[in-house]
Amino acid sequence: MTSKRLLPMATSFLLLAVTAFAGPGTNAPLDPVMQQLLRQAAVESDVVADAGFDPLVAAVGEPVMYRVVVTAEPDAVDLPERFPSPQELELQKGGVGSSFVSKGQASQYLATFNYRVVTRGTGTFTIDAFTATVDGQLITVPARTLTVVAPASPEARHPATLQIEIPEEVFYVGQAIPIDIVALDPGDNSIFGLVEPKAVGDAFLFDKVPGSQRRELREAHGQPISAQIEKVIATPIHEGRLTLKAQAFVERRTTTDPQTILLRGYRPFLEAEPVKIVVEHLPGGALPGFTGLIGQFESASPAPAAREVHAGDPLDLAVVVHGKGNLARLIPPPIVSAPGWRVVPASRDAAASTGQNGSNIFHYTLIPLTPGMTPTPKIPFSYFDPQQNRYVDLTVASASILVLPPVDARSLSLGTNGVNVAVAALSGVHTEGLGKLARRPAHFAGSLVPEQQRGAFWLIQVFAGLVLAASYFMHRRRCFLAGHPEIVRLAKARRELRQRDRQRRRAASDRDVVAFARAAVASLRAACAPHLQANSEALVCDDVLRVFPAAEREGKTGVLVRQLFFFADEMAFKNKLPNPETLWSLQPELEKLLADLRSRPC
Amino acid sequence: MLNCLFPFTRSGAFLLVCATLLASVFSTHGETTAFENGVAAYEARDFAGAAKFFEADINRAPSAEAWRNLGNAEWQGEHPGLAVLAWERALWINPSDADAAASLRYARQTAQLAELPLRWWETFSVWLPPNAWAGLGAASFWLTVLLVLVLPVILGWRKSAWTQSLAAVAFGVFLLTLAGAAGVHSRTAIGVVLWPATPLRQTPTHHAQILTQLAAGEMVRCRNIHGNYYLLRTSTGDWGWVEKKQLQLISRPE
Repeated sequence: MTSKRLLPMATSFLLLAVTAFAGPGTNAPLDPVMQQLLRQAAVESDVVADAGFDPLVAAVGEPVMYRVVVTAEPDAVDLPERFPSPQELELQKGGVGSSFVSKGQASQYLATFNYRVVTRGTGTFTIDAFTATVDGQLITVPARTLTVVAPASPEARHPATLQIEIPEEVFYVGQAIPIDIVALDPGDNSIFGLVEPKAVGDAFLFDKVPGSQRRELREAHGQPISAQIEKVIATPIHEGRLTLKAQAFVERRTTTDPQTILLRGYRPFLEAEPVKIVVEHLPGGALPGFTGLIGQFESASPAPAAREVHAGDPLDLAVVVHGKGNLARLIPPPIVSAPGWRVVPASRDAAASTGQNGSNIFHYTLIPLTPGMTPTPKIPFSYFDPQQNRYVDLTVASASILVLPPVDARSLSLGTNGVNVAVAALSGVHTEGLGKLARRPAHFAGSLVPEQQRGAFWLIQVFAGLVLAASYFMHRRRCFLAGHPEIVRLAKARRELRQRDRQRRRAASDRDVVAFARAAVASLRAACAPHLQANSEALVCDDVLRVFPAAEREGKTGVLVRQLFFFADEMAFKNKLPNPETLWSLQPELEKLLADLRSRPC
Repeated sequence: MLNCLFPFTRSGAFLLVCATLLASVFSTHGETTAFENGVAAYEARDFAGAAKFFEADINRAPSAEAWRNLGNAEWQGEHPGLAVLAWERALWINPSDADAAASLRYARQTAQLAELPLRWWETFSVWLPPNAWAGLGAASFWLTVLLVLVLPVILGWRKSAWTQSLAAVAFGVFLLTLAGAAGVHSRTAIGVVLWPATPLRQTPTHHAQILTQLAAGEMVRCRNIHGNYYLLRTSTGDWGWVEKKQLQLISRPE
C-alpha cells in the first residue's frame, strides 16, 4: 500500500461514519395525522403542474421570476435539479410556498417553487416541457416562453415584487418594530390583495396587526404604482445585526394568456429581499418599575372602581396606559409596597391594543385592611424612550379611598395563582422507575470540562508538535552536515581555536611560558586546519606555513611560526624551556596573525 | 554488596510495585466514606443528608456513580431540576451508565419533560466519554505522524505495508474523532433548568415579559450570555432569556 492511498482510505472511514449517523430522522418529523391528511388530499386530487414566467416580456438584466406550481404538498414534489433551459437564461432556486385551495368540498394543496431568472441576451427563450415526480408519479410541466427585449423597450414589463419597509434607525431588544410588507404592482393594477403575509427572522417575535392591510401609491420604475401593504410588528429578542425576510401570496387578476399559470385558485408566491437591522441592548440605569415597555407613552392614571369600599372587600384599580410602542406585550409593574392593602397581582385587559398605537389597561385587585381614608399605593412604573435614548418615569399616582368598617368579620383567604405544572406532576414522589443506587464509585473524572476545552491539552499538543518539528529540523541539519564535512571541520576548528585562545590568554596572564608556547602552537594548528581540510592535531610546522602565501612564508610570519614550533619542539623533545622574554615579545604578532587567519576565507 | 542493598530480583521489584499500587487503591477506597455515608443516608431515607454526602464526595473526586446517586437523592427530595442535572452529568462522565439513563427516562416521563433533540455528531459523541474523544483524537493523530513522518523520515525506517495500513487506520480514526469532538463541543452548551416554572423572558432584564415558563429539568441550548442571563433555545424551538442562577450547564459545574 502506498502513502497516496492513505487519504482516500481515511476519507472513506469518515464517509462511512457520516452515512451511518446521518439518517432520515435528523429532521423533526411532521405530525403523522397531518402528514396523512395532506398526502390523502394530494392522492385524492388529480396532480397537475403548470409553470410560467413573470413577466412574460422583460428587459435584459431586469428581474424575472419563473414559477412551477404543482397541486401537491411540497415535500412530495421532486423537481429536476436542472431545467431544459437555454444558456441565455440562468435559473437560481428561490423559496417554496404552499397553500390550500378549495376544490368543491375537498381541499387541494398548491405548492409553488420560485426560481429567479437572470437573462443574458435578447430574444425569445423557451424552457421545454420536463417531467417531475410527485409521490412516485410522473407529471409533465409544460414548456414556457420568455421574451427578452433590449433595455428601456416599451413592451418590457416588471414582475410583481414584495419588499420590506422598515424605519432606518437603531432598535432595541424588546422594542416593537413596525414593518410594512409591501407588494408592488407590476404596473397593470393586477394585484388587489395580500394573502398570508409573513415576516420571517431568527430571534424575532412577530405580531400581526389585524385590519392593517391597505392600498397606497408607491414610486417604482420611475412612475407611481399601486401597492398592497400590510403591517406586522416585529420584536427582536437578541442584540446584533439581524436579518428580516418576508413572503406572501398575492391576489392577482387572472388572465387568459396560455403562457401564464392558469391553475384554479393559484396565487403568485412572492419573497422579499432580506433586510438587515441593528439591534442593541437597552442601556443600563433603568428606573424603578421598568417592565420592558419601550416607546412613547403618556402618563398612566389610576381609575379605582369606587371611592368607598368596605375593609376586606376587593377594589378594582385599573391603570390605563396610552401611547405608541410595545403595548401588546405590556407587563404590569408589581406593587412593591402597599401599607394598609393586600394586593392581588395585576392582570392585563383581554381587549388590549394589538398594534403599536393605542392603549392598554391593567387591573390590580386591592383589599383594604383597616377602615379610614387610605390612599392606594403608588406604583413605580417607567418606560424607555428610544427616540430620546433614556428612561422616562411613569409612576402611577395614588388615589384616596374611603375604607368603611367591614360588613362581615370573616377574613378573606386568597389563593395564589401560578400553579406549577411540573411540581404538581411530581407531587407524591415516584421512585419505582429510578435506576439503582451505585455502591461504589468507579468512573472518575478530574473535571466535567472536556479535555479539548482545557488549555493544558492544547499546550501538550503544541509542545509535542514543537518537539516533532525540532526533531525534523535536526534530522535535516544532520543530513546536510553529512554532505558537507567541511562545515563540521570548520565549526570544530573554531571551537578548538576559542578553547586555545582561552588557554593562551590564561597562560599569558599567569606568565606560564610552557603553557603559552603549547597553546600558541595549538592555536596556529586550529586556525589553519579549516584552510587545509585537515584535523588540527595532524598539522606540523610546514603544513601551517603552506596556508600562507610564499612572500609571507619567507617573511616575518614564517619566522614567527617557525620560532613558535621550535619552542614547542624543544620543550617536547629536549625538555628545554623557551626564553621568556623572546616568547612574550612574540605575543602581539601572534594575536595579529591569528586574527588574520580567522578573517581569511577557507 | 549490591545484592545486600537491593535484595530484590526483577520479579520481586515488580511484585513490590504492584503491592504499592494495590495499597494506594485500597487507601483511596478507604477515603470514600462520604460516598458510603451518602448511600447509608439514602437507605435511611435521609435524602437531604444523602445529597450533601454525595456532593462532598463529588467535590473530592467527581465520579459518575456519585452524580447518579446524587440525582436519585435530589429526585427523592423533590428537586427534579437538580436530579436531571446530576444524571446528565453522570452520563457525561460515563455514557454507558444504564441506571442513570433509566432514571432520566423515568424522570422525563413522569415530569412530562421533552428530550432535547441531538444532532448526528452529538449523538455520535455520546458513544464515548468526552475526554476519550480528545485522547483518542490526539493519540491517533500522533500515531499517524509517527508512522508517516517520524519512523520513515526522521528515523529512516523502511516503509512497510503494515506501517502504512496502520497509518491509514489511525488517520481514519482521527477523522472520526473530529466529529466526536465537535459533538462534545456543541454539547457543552446544553444546560438544565433547575427551578420549577422558570420564566423564559423576552429580554435579559428582571422585569421583561415572560414568554413562557420552563419546567425544572428541561434541557436547553445556551447561545449567548448577557450579564446575569443566558440566551437559550428550548427543545420546542422557543428563544428567550433565563437568569443564570436558574440554569446550569452540564459540563460547567458552578
